[in-house]
Amino acid sequence: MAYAAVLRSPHAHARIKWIDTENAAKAPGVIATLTGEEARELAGPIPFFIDPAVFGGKTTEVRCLAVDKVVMAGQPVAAVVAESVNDAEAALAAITVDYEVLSPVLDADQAMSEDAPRVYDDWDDNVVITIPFVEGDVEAALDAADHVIEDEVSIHRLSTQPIEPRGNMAVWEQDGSLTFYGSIQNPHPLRLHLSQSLGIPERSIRVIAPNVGGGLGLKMHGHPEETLVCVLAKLAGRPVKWHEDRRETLLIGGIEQRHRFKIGFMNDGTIVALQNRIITNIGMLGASPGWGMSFLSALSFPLGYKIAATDVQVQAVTTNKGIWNATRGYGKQGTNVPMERMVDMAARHLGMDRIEIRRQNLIEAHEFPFTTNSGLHIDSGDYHGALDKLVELIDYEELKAEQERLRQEGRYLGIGIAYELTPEAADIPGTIVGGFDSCQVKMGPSGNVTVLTGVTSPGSGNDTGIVQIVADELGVPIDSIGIVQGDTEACPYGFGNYSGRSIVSGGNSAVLAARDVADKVQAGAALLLEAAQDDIELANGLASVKGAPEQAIPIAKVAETIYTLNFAIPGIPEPPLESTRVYKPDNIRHTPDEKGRIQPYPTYSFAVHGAVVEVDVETGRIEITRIGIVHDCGTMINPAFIEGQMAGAVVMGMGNAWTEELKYDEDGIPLSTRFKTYLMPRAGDVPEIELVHQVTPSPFTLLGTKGAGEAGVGGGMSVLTNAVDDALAPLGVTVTELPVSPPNVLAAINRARANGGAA
Amino acid sequence: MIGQRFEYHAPASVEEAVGLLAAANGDANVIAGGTWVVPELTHGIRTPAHIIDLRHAELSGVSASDAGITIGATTTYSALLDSPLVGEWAALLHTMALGVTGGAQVRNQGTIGGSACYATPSSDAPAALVALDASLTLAEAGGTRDVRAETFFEGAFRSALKQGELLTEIVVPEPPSNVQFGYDKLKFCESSWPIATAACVLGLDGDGVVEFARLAVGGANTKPYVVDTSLLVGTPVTRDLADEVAERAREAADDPYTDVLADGAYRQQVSGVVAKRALLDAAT
Repeated sequence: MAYAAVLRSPHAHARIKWIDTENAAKAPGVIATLTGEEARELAGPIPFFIDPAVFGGKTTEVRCLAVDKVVMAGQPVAAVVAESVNDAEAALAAITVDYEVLSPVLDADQAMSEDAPRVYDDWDDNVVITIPFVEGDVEAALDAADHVIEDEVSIHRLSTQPIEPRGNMAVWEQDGSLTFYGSIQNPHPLRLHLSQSLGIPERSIRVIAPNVGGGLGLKMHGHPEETLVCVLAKLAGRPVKWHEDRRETLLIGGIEQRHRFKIGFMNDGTIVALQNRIITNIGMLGASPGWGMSFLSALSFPLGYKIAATDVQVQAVTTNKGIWNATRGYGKQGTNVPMERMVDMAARHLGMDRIEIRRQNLIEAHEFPFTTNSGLHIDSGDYHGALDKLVELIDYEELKAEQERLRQEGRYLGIGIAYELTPEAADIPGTIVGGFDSCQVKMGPSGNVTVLTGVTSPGSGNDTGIVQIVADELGVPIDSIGIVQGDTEACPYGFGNYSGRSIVSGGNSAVLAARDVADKVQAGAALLLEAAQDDIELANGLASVKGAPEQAIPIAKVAETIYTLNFAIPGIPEPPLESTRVYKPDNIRHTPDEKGRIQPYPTYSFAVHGAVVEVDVETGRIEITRIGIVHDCGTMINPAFIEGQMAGAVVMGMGNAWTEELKYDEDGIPLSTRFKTYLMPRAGDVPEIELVHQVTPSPFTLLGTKGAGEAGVGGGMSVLTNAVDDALAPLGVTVTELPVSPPNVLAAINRARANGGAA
Repeated sequence: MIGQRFEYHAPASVEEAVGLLAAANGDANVIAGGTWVVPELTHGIRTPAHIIDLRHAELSGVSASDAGITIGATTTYSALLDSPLVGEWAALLHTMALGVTGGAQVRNQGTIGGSACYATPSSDAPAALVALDASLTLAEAGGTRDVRAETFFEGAFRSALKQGELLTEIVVPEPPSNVQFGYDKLKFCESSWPIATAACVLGLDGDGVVEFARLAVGGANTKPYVVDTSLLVGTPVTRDLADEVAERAREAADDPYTDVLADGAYRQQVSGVVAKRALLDAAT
């Protein structure tokens, strides 16, 4: 084994004049060095996970090491392989790079100006793509509205940080084939992309994703280091491993965006018009799927609110900030936060209760399935039922009374309310973001079962959930089932982990495959028990005759008989007891409708959140004292995992909105380089989470499941922001800028006080 | 991973340590627990040729002396918390150590001496040492000298330590029997470094009238500073007086520290808040 280290650009924007690796090559322990020019001879461009060109946007060539020019601080420019990590990292200091430093452009608005530096020399401007979603006559609707609020909401640059950073290892075999081990989310698609960048057949590559210590979107591929490690292993003539440092993980960000909007509403609280111009700052355009979150931030408007006229447009702008990758929530938090701010602003403007205004505008249970203005076809829901449960859960009326009492004492309690919609299990046409997935179920002669899936688990528990599903279908004990995920040689083709899809697509494909195997077991048992197949029940490891439980045979015995007495018993089903099935969720439509809209999401999980905070108005510090959630992801397979996912997501969302921020200096150099400068919440920062489940199955998925795991991020961000806004309402503060970090909150209080206090 | 080569030394005595330090000719970092230096080595911010680790230099422990309490430079926060002497005579340090971010791992590893030596504004110990009017003993090959905490801290990451010197012990004078301590710390969330700290030592008579007061603020300026509390002497602490002290604390924050977590304007504004809260904490 040898170890790789990556030399990264110290500049946000610079031309590489030359690189000298001669001294590094002679440094102790060094096996090989590599520059961008050299790498270009050994590997092709890295394929995009989602190419903006597919949607009519601009694109660029992404290489594993920069050639000619760097466009973000931290971009890989050279690499070293050595006998140890220490040797490799030490040798980096011996590489000399001569840069011609260029002016960086860091702000998205500035990047859109005529005279802004171009991130990519051959582009006319820095706009990657402009995507409009227009429904109805917004100008007329705004004119007709009783009230119009014009404001902005901005969300800062943040990140998702799995506890295990990224790690890749490449092993070239004698026969020219490659085994790639990685802490990654999408082994099969990565195999295709590695074959394209390395120029070897897909069949020659095996990708293995062992147990992954958190994915969170950050481990969707397209990162330079995947191709890079393979090239380095080839050069070194032995396996090469690269495991990133937290500084490297923190180079990857997401979400930063500004919404400039007008929202029109009537005296009774009915929202009638929304115009919104969104600009996202995607930093360097990379091959990883992060930039695509811009699309979701616009597409998801207006969530489950019935707004007759909407005109939403997003422009994704490239800058010299760090690259985006997917962050759990995949841009939907970029809809949830501003939409929930707007609804609260309208409520405050009217003096209307914030639960009431949501009741007034949300889709009612009897209106599902419901087509939104952007063409999303929301499968099912009961938003009003969830609001009722939330009011009861947090004892909303009593909370409001307590807030009033504390205000008299000069204490600033805030009650946040937020609704959250999470479109899940995406299929994006023309990309390897697939909406279906696969499962193979194999029962051997002992009755033991092996399940192989196309989905992978980042530690979220979908492996256990899928085993539960198979156990239920086959009627065998859980401990007789093993599961294999993340190995392209062993598992059927699948897309891995993203978009809350693992149970929707992976779980339901397991149902189909397990039912095939169950059919054969039932047929065999029927023969052996001399009963009709339809009368055979599978449960507790036994095949038994309905209504006659004494007529039973162990499922293991049926399996053994099928495998060992197949010639002896005429009519017994043929082995193997195996089936591989794909599940394609309904409710995905890629034929554009008359307005050109497609429907890429089969299911729509949702939640309503209530949070209580107390703001220390002298310091801007927030104490989160209550978190109440009503969550609905349709049918649940394992509520404990869903609760764990929701707790993690909501706290992640709160951290995203509160103290997590990727900051840069004026030259574009990252300042948030460790967990002391990028502050993630810890257990002590949050109270015990009060979670209530509501179950509104999807009519479009086999088991009625929707996605779980992403919901909570956008809700956590929104509810915390809204709670801070509510706390500070008496001071005349309106929160329009995230994060609600203590300095930002205190600055908002100072501004409001300077402006004369209460609005 | 530390991507640079250096020579590691773990001297068994102060004498050996100062000898190594002198020989290193300025190209050395001294570590006790390493909680500050090691992450900076990892990030390549520090690239010393030598690391001198004091773990075997027998500088850990708390003892009573005529001058007060003597705390060895490599005494960990956990050892401070476990020390009955600290609990009895310097409860302020106990409170300070309790609040150190990072939980048991950092409390078992981080040292009060290390915190002082690296003079990080975002650190718990400096303001407490200044409030207690502690004295720091610095050793070099030629001998030792004592420096008051108030003058030891010279700026952000700057102390009176000269090249070739290391901190051996901290002496906290024995406080009068009528002393009360107050402490306040502002941090953003559990994982946050302290943004501003204030430590107050208050002597009260039986009627709650202030006989003496010493109040120090850390984190707001580039170095900890003492707030003028003369207006408190001879009167009980009232909210109005506390507000007045807060104002003085703010005015004294004339060289505010800025880092990625909080800028100088913020730190200046909250300096008065923590000062007031520490004072009120001490008074009650």
